[in-house]
Amino acid sequence: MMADSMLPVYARALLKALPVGPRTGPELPDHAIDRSIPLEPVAYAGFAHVVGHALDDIVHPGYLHILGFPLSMQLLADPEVPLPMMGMVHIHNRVDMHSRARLGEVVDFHLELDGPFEHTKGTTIEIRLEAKVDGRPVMEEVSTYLAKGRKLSGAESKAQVPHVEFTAPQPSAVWRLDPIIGQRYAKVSGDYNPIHLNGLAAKGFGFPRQIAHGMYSASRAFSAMDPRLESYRWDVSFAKPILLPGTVGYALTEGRRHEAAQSAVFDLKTGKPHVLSQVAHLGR
Amino acid sequence: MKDTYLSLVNGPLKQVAKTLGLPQPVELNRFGTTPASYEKKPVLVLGTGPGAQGLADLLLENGLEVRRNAQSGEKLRAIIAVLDDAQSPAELSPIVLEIGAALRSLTTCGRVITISTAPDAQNQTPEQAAATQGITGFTRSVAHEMRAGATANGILLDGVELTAPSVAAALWFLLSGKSAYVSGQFLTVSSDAGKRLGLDEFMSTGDAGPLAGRTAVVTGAARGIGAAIAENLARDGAYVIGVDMPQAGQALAQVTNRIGGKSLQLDITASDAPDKITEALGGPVDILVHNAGITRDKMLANMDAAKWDSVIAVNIAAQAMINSRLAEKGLFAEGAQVVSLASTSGIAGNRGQTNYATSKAGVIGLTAASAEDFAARGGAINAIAPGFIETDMTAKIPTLTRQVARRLSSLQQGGQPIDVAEAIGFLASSGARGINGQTLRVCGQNMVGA
Amino acid sequence: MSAPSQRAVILGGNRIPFARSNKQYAKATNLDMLTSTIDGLVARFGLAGENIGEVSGGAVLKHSKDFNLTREAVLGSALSPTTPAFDLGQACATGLEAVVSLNNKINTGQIESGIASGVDSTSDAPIVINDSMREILLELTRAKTMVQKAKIASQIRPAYLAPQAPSTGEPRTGLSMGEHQAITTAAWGITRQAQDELAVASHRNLAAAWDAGFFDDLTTAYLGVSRDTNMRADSTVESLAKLSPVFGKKLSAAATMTAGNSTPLTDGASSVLLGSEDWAAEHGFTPLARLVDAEAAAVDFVDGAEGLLMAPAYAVPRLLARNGLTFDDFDVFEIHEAFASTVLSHLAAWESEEFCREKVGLDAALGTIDRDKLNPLGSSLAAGHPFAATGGRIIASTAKYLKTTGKKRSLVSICAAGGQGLTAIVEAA
Repeated sequence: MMADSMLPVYARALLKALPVGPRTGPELPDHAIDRSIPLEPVAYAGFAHVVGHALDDIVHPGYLHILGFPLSMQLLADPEVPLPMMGMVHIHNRVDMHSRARLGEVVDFHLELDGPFEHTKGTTIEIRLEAKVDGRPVMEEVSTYLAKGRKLSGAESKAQVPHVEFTAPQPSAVWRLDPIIGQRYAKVSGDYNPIHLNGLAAKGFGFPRQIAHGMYSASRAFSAMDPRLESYRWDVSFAKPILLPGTVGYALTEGRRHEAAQSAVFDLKTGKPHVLSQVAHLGR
Repeated sequence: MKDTYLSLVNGPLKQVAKTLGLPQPVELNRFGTTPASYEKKPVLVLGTGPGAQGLADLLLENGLEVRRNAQSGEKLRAIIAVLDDAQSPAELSPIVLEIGAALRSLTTCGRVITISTAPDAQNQTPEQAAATQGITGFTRSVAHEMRAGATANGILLDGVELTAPSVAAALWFLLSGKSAYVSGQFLTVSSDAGKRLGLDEFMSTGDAGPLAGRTAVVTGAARGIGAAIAENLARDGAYVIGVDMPQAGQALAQVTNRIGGKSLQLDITASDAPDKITEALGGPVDILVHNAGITRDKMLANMDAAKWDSVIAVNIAAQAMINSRLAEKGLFAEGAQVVSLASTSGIAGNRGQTNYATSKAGVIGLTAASAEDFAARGGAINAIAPGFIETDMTAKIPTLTRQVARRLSSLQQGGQPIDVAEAIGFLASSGARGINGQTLRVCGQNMVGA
Repeated sequence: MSAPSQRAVILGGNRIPFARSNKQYAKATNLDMLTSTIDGLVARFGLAGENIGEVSGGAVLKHSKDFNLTREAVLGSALSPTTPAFDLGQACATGLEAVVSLNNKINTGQIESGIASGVDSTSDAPIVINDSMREILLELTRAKTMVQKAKIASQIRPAYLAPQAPSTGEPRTGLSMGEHQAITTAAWGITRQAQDELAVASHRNLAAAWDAGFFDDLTTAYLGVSRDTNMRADSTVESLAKLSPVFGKKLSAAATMTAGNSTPLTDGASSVLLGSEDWAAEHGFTPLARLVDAEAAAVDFVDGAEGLLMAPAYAVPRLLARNGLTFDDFDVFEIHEAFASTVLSHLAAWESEEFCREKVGLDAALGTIDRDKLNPLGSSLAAGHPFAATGGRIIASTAKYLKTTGKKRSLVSICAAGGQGLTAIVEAA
């Protein structure tokens, strides 16, 4: 039930990846997209089940993210964006949830690009998403995408999320992830990026096998943390991608379920992190 | 176990068998399968004494058609010869010839029943004893000559009059389909004990049946003959507690649930078995059928202690232990009746069955020796010696041997578990308490079989 | 001793011998086993054709077609077809909850008699199709035209066709029960030796009870099985010491839980006959015991705050307090052996002043259990553990044990998935 089909976006992204056409300066096009999307129970239920969230009328923030996702890809695929969309890596996601979005409401999305910013590993672009219902602020999101190894002169400097040393805790849960999880999340999110669906495609981008959607793992971790707060900040850092099939550990690293807390999804063998999440009270 | 030959010669191959002169066994009339037309046929009562008339009157009272003289062209369901006043072998001539003349009028599954005084070397003159003993030889021989499912049996009066209640019960048993596979046998009535049963009551079922209101314990009730006994006693009105080894529990539960009884899983050789039985009963034992038995066949030269001891323990020692324990503790009810399973192997012996035959002959001895004790409580103890009965056990006999064994009987077929069960139901009935310490063979006049 | 409202008595029970998964009962369904178990009980008590007040039961691993499992078993049994039944579930405590609920219904006068039951097959377990495939099939049933159907069917991918086998893992953590217990075992420092000793005692006690004929009137043979097939009367601490650990291998503490001191997957069913005192008297049944009180507890294991199987450690102190009893008042302790270390963790918790003060809110440690009184008939390590059938096994066995030994009081404790535990007091009638 996606508002916009992703296929033309990927087609444009592919075209953009070709070494032809005009390349302009570091400025991003001054475009924004506005779209109103109703929160429909059937489509949402599919998402909620895949990310292990109880189905009630309060919508998971990860779902608002995916409703905005095709729009953000349209922005990124714009030929005037000076970085190739294919191969960009989602490295960080921050959501400020101001109020609850409920099923049956119509969400007004406003998306725009910010950046490019300097990054030690390349250049990042941020997608800023605002979601409102009848003028009431619901969510503000900043999704940070990294074009690895690309340096753009003139990119703004920006403080990076500091690297934190991570020690794997005792897992309180174990996730056994079959490759089909890529297809299931693609189906409910509309993100059919082939690196999540197909081992060959993943190899093309340097991964040994297909990888799980980052926002799948993040949304599932959010479901496990299950914060029951009126408003909160949900901060996610994506470290190593999860190869499918795979078994990963999950644990709270601070705080308690239903409250402000931190969690980690990590490799059970090496102890290296995949997804680090934090839910904090907003504005405190 | 299905007797295919029996089905074939009564079906598609009837004519072929007749032409070739092959044995032609018939499907026996049993309880519930006896045609009404058979029951309407008259009974010929022979004998000149007052006993014969008394008997004829008894039959008439019970609704049977009675003839005192054979009428030509009329089929008979039974010929009863009352010979209770025979004083010497020479006197037998007219009546046996009369029987002989009437034999051709006997219908399919007809009956010849002789009623005579039991041979008694102590109290009879040599002449009298020759006559009474002679009648047993006569009856057994007639049984061998019977055709088409007909049988010949005798009732022996051992110090009782023809009016003893158990004479009537024995008569109903022998006349009915309940004795289908009993032939060449004698039922000795030795006391006036027991309730006088009418034919209708004897042939009724459920709450009107001859065992109504009584509780019966049947050991080895999970399968085969034991299951048939349990079902039959329930049919005749008894509340049945089926006993078997825990290993047979599933089959036992199926049997007892079918008949609305109760299961009791125990090892009858255990010393607390009698207590558990009375505990399950919630009171003293009324009817007890010692049916549990095992075989561990081996030629004596190869017999080991385990095979010998286990057969003795289960087949005879357990019966003796349970009887004596219940008796000691006063746990047999007034009028309690016990029926034990012996075997024709215990009478004739059997190759490879020294252990089994010992145990089963032991049952016959135990039964005879316990009679007085049971009589003192107004009850009785008797045994049944089955011959070749179609069960899982006989199904293990090699095919050819099995076929031969079946045809060797006077009825040219094996018996069914129900035949054993009917005899037990009869001996467990209140009408049969005047029969005590006896062993009745249910073998179709055959000595083969377990 | 009993209050006037305490009318319910435990009259007896029946179970089929438990068999290891995928052995003798591999092709027997839950319905098959439950029906046969009820039939065995009916035969033992001569209840053929009788109307029972209510039959309760359940299975942990349950096919959707078995939505009315217990009622279907009644219909297939020798009981009167007008006997009502209901299904219930509390994971491994299902069997005990089936007893408790009927016990309470009899006590309130709602029913006069009841059969509490439970069954589980890990052999004939439900296999679920992949969620994607399931969604597609459901969509197909909603489609109206052939074109719609074809379009939906075209979404099927080969990967969707792989079935999902049932898992003993906790839904919220994905960890198996053994992995959860391994964390608890390590936390309480339960040794391998102690676990193996408990397992040996379980096998020894169960075998002795079988040999003594104790189960002759508590079991009915099924499909040729007449004793619990997992039982190894000859197992020793030495033989168990040779087994390699199977759980907790990734923990920092040494792994101690083996196939020998953990319960195997098992198939089986059990039932318990309960009735009011009047109903028992009318039928000439001798009461064995009565279930006096029960207490359930649950712990938050989801993020590891407490061990998955530790709920009984909380339920028992509350149960004892409500009834004004201490461990000294009990002659028997029937603690379900999900794992040897589960039992030992509970014992350790009750002996721990810190646990009892801080977690339970007592003034001091609850106390020590005399090991001679623990699981005198063996328990799940030896008998096996067909999840929903364990409660009925324990209740019928301990009721008879009280009756035959003349002992007075038994404490029953069963831990269950989902961080739950159900405990009960059974007293001689």
